[in-house]
Amino acid sequence: MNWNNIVSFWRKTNYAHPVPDYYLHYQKNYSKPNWNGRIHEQKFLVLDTESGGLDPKKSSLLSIGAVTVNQMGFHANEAIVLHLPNNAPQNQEEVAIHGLVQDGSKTMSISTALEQLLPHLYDSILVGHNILFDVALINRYLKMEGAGPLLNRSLDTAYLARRLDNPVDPGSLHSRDYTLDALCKRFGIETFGRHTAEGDAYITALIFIMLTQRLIEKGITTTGQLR
Amino acid sequence: MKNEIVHRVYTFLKDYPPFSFLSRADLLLLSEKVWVKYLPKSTVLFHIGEATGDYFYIVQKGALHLYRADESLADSCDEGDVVGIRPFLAKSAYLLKAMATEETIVYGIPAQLFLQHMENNVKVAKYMASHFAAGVQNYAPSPDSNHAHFTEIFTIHHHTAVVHCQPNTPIREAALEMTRKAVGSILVCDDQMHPLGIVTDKDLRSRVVAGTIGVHEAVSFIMSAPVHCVPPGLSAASLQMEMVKKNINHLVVTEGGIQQAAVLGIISEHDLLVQQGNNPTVLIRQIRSASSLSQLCLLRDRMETLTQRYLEQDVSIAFITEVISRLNDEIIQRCIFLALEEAGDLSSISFCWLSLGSEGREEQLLRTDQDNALVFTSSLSDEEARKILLPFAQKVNASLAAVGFEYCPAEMMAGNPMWCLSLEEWKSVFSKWIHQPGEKEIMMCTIFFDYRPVYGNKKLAVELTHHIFDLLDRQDLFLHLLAKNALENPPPLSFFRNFVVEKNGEHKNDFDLKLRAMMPLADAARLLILSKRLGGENNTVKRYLKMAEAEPENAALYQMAADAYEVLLRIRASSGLKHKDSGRYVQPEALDKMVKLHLRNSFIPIDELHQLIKVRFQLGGRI
Repeated sequence: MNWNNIVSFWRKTNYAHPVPDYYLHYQKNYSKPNWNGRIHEQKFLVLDTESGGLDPKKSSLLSIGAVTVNQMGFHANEAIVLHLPNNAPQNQEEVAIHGLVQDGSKTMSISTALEQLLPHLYDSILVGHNILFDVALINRYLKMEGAGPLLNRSLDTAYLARRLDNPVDPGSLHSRDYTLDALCKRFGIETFGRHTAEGDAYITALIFIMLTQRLIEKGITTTGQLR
Repeated sequence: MKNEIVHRVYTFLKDYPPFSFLSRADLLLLSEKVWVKYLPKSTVLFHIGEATGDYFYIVQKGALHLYRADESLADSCDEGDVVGIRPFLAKSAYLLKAMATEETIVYGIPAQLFLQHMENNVKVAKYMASHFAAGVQNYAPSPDSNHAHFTEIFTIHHHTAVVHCQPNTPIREAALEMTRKAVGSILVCDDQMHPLGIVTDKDLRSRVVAGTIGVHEAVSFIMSAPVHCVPPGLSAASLQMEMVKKNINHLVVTEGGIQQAAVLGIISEHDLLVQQGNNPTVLIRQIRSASSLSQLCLLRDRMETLTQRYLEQDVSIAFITEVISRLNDEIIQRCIFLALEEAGDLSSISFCWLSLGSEGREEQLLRTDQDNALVFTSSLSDEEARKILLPFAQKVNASLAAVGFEYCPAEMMAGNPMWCLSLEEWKSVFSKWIHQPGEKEIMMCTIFFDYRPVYGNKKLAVELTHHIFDLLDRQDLFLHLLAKNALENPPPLSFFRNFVVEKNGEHKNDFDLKLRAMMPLADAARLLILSKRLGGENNTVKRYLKMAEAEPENAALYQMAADAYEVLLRIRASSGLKHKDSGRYVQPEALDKMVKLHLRNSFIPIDELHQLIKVRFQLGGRI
C-alpha cells in the first residue's frame, strides 16, 4: 500500500494546510508491528477519546486519553491526557451523555494535541473499545490539519471479548454484553473514574490485558493471532 | 492537573496504611510513579533469592500467597496488603516467593521514593517499623520510646574502645590490628581522633584480596569515606532507620554527630541485632537473681512490654510464645525457689510442679489465671507428705498471685488438697476420669491433660503420661467422648457469615475468641495427639505440626490449623494488651479489615477438623 498516495489524496482536499511536520515524523518513524512476535513483547497504546456525540463525521473531539501497555502492565505517569477545545456549541444531549461541561482552561490546540499523540504511536498497536470510532474521529481531525490518517493497526477490545466467547460467530452475540461497563462488571474492575478519556483508557487497558491472558490460555501466542 | 489514572491510584492507596499516613500532595506524587501490573493466576511476582527491583507492591485486586523455601505458606495477601517491602528495609534479596493465587492486579510502588517519605514522616516510619520490620533478627523498633524501661532495653551502648588507625597505616597492619581485637571493622581517624573513614572485612576482601590494591598500601586507599556520624544517646530505632536510609552498616558516634569532633564510639548493625536479641536473656538473668516478689512483678511487667513490642514488630507467634513461656517458667521457678527457702523439711519428698491449661500448653502471652497442680512421691504416707507440701504450694500460689497471675476461680491450683496428689493418687484420679467419663470428667481432662512439668522431678510427670496412655489403649470409649466434646464448641460464624457474638451479659455483642475459635482448635489438637499417643507436646501449634508429620495425608489441614491458631493467639494478645484484659472478647466491628479477614480465615480449618473428627471417631450425623 502506498501511504503517500493516500496522503496526497487527502491533501488535495485541504490545500489550505501543508502536511504538518509531526505527521511527517510519524510517517518516517512508524514501524509495523512484528505480528509473529510474542504478545508480551509487543507495545500497545490503549486509547480512548471523549467526543461530543456518537457520529465520528460530525462529533467534536474533546479529549484523548491513552496508556502504553507493556509486559502486562503500565505506568500511571505515562498516561497521555490531551484536552481539545470544543468548537461546536455543546448541546444538551451531549452533556447528558458525559455529564460534564467542558472547562476551557485545560485545553490545547488540535495541532498541539496531535503532535503530542503521534510519537506514542510509532511502534505500538492501537487498542480501544470500539476503537474504529476513535480512529475515525482522530483521522477526521488529522485531515483538518492537512495530515494523513493513522497508519497503526488497531485491535478492538469489544471484538476480542466476543471472539473469546464465540470464536465461530462473534457477531451473533448481544452487544449489550460487550459494552465497556458490561466487561468491567464481568472482570470485576471498578468503574470509578469513567467518562474521562484516560480513566476509560485505564479500564480498557486492564480489560485488554485480561482478555489477552484468556486468549493466550486458549492457545494463541503471537501478536498476529490477536487480529 | 493529575490525570485520572493517577487519581484512581491515589484514591485506592489513600485507604490503606502506610499510604494513609501520607499527605495528599505526597501521596499524589507517589501515585504518579505507580506501575500497574497484571498477574495471571499462578504467576510468580518474585522468587526467593531474587534481587529487588525498583518496586514493592500493594495488591489492588486478587490475592497473592507468600511461600518459604520449603514451599510452606508464610502469608496470604489480598486487597490492600503490601507485599515485598521487607527486602528494601532489610537490604536483602527476597526471602519469600510471591505467587498470584488468582487473577491479580498489583500496584508497583517505587521503593526509593517511598523510603524517602518514610524518613520524613514519623507516622509512616512508625508504622513501617512495627509492621514490616524483618522479623526477630532484624527489626526496627518504633521510634518513640517514651517509657524509661524501653530505653533501658533498647538503647544501644556503643563500643567505647574503638579500634582505629591512621590514614597512612599500611593495610596489612590495620588487618592485623582487626584480627588482634577480633573486630570486623577499623575506624580511620586523624591525630585528633576525628573520623575520616572506615575499613571493613568486606573492603579487605573485595578491594585487597580479590582486588588490585596491595597490602602495603595505606588504608586510606580502601577506606569508605566519609563516615556517617550520629550524636550519642539515640534509640535503637533511629539508629536502625539511619542505617536503612543511608544504606550503611556502621555509624560513628561523635559529640553532636558532626564529622569534626572526636570519636566517642562506633555502632554496627550487628550490635543492634545482638542487643535486641539479648532482651529475653537479660530478663531471665534478672528473674533468676530477683529476691522479692515486687521485683518479679516489675519484671513481669517488662515481659508484657516485650510481648507488645514483639507483636508490633510482627515477630512470629512461635517465637513469642516460646520466649514468654520460657520467661513465665522462670518466674514460676523463682517463686518456687523463694517459697522453698521458707518451706518445711521436704527432704523425704520428691515432687513436680505442673502447669496446666494455657500455661501448660505454652500459649500464655498475657497474665491470665494460674492453673497448676503438684505430683509427688514420698517415703511418708500421702497424707503426711501433703501436710508438708500444702503450705508450701499455697505460698507459691500466693506468690504467683502477687506477681500478677490471679488465683484460679475454680481453684485448680497446687495449694488445693484436691490437686496436690501423689503419683499413685493421680493415677487413680485419671483412671476414674477415663473409665467413667461424665461431662465433668471430660472437662477436667481437657484441663489436666495439658499438664507440663515446670519444676522438680520431671520423671513423675513422664510416668503419669505413660499411665494415661496405657489407660487410653484399653478404653476406646473415652476418646470417643472426648471427640464428642471437641465437636460441641459453638460455631464462630452464623449462617450469614457474620461473627456470632454474645447475646447478653457483660460482653454483649462481643465475639468470644477463646470459646468460639481457640478452644475448638486446642480441643481438636489434644484429641488427635492423644489418639496418636504422641506425648510430650502440649503446645497447640506444635501439636498440629507434629500431627502433620504423623499424618502426611492431612498435613495441609494441620498446617492450616497451626497457622490459624497462631493468628488467633496474636489477635488475642494484641487485643488483650490494648484493652488491658485477657483479650478473650473482641468487638468484631472494632477490628480492622485485615484482622477481621485473618480471623475469618482462621475458622476454615475448624470446620474441616470437625469433619475429620466425626469420621475418625465414628460420630454419627451427616458428614
